[in-house]
Amino acid sequence: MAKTRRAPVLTAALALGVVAVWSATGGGCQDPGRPAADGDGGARGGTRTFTDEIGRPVRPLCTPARRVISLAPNLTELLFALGAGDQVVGVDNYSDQPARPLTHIPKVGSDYEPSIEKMVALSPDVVFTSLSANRRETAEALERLGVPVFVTDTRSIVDVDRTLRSLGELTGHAAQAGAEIRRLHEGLQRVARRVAGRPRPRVLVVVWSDPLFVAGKRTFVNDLIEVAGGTNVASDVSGFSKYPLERVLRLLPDVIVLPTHSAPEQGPRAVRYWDHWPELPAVRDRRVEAVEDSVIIRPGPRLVEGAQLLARLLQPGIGTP
Amino acid sequence: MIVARASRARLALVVALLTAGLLAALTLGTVLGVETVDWRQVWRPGTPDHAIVMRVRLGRALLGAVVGGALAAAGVTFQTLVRNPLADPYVLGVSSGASVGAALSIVAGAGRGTMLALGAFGGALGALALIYRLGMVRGRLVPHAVLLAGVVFNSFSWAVILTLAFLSRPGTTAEMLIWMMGSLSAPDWLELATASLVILAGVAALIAMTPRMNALVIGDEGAHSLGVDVSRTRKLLLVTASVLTAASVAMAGPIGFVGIIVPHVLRLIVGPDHRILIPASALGGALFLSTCDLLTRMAFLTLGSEPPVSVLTALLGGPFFLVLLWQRRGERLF
Repeated sequence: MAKTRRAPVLTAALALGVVAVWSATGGGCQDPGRPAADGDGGARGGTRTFTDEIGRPVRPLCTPARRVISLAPNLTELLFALGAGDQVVGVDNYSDQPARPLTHIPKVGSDYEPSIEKMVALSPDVVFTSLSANRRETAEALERLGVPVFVTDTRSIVDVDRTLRSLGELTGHAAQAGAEIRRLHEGLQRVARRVAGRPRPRVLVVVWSDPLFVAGKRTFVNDLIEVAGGTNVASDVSGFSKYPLERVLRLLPDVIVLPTHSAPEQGPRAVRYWDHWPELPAVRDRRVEAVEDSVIIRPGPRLVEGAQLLARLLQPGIGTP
Repeated sequence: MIVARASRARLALVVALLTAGLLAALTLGTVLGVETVDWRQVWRPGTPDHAIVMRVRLGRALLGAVVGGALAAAGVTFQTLVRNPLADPYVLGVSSGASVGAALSIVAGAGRGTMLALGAFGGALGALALIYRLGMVRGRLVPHAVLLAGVVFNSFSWAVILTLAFLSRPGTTAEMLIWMMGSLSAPDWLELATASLVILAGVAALIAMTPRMNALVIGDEGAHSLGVDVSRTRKLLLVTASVLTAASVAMAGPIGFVGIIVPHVLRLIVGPDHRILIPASALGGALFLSTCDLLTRMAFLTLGSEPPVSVLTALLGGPFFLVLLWQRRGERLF
């Protein structure tokens, strides 16, 4: 009697167990409240495969991704700008904008060593990382645990367009991505028009004063300087590079910009360091500026504000560009 | 008497040769660089050419000479002190003590400059004090105890530094790690003058103690029978060599290989007599490090970046030392 009644219960329990395990590894695509994905050719219902911005194939993930984690401040800002803020379930410690919504979102750790456990516990559909901010090991660890990771590479203004499109497509905000790209470009054009025709000061962007590291070409701040009406004198190096002090003395920049967002308390000291070199026009004319605002170094939706800030620094008397 | 005269003659020859070499290195370091210079402008303060030659190039070359000399002389002293050819300012923990002091200064907000230098100096002397206490066995400073204390202290220091680096904001972490790479960047003239005085005084003190260092080599009992106060001599040597190391690390951060390679190379060339070896190592270290600095500066032209000077000291010093070892194989090295 008992034996025959137990068999269907056991079967049901087994079936539930299989479904439970399958759902756990499926990243939530079987979520009943989820709208059907559009126009995909994925093998499993609702999942698609992507190639990220560094050419990696990403684990199949459900789109639109309902639960995303951002491991870089610029990606957090871009996600919110796209209207995907409700989908952000975790961010890195250094994400600070937009300030108010972020107070309700759990922090998963530093860019360099985020907590894998915390991230997995949040059950993200995808984790967005930045090639410059996050390590490859983090992405690999997450993927081994079944979490799809999309790596972005945003080093210039043009890259911001691409990243907006990537984030928009994965979070179901492709239309907003297009609108945001247009808004940013219109803003940049306004700044460029405002500074057009004016003499272009020679600018040096000093990331570290002693020993000297500068921002060369192929950096975001370099692009902003060009838009803001300046010329980066360190155009013989690429990326963030050690630079000979001799060459600075030969290039004689008119303005020295010191981005100090990651260490604002060092600003005054860094500015004072340059008093050692009064041969430089920038020092002579007191145009060594520590800029604490992250807008000039963060490839995100506030890049127009970054260009405006730099335009005001480089072209005094310009008003509001 | 004959031995003494021969030694003095040899000393004079060695010093003359090395001093000439050092002057040549300093001259090259001033004349060569990444940028071309208008030599008529160089003599006019306020022009970029003057700043390039006098303050960037000459300043760095002199700093390299002073630091190199200090590290090499300290290296010889540490090796004799613990009777171990592997001893150098690093192994005995003084360098890492300085690094801890510097890391704490950076966390407290002192950037590169006098505060940092003082922090590094304090850290080095703190390490010295600790190793001194730990190295004392029944009131005497015992070589293997000193070595052991240094090795243990090194590991501990690194753990402290890495913890500080990890817990700090990225800017502070970056500053710490950049400092750890060592840098001979253009120094403040006042700081350079102060450090040079300290270092010259230290090297002079070591030179004065060289007869006693020779005695120590034959063993504690032998040295004692020659009238050397072994315990006091050891303590004085430890303090002097540590002050030299502290000053070097305070000015330029931790720079490796100079303190171990230069002493051995010079020992293979001029022999183990400390009366010649100490001055020779000081001059040799000065020549070596200022040359390495020149090469790192010129490396920018080919590599597009300037490597930390420790890279050059390792690349140059290592193979040179191996060649010398090979040539002298079978001979007693130490």
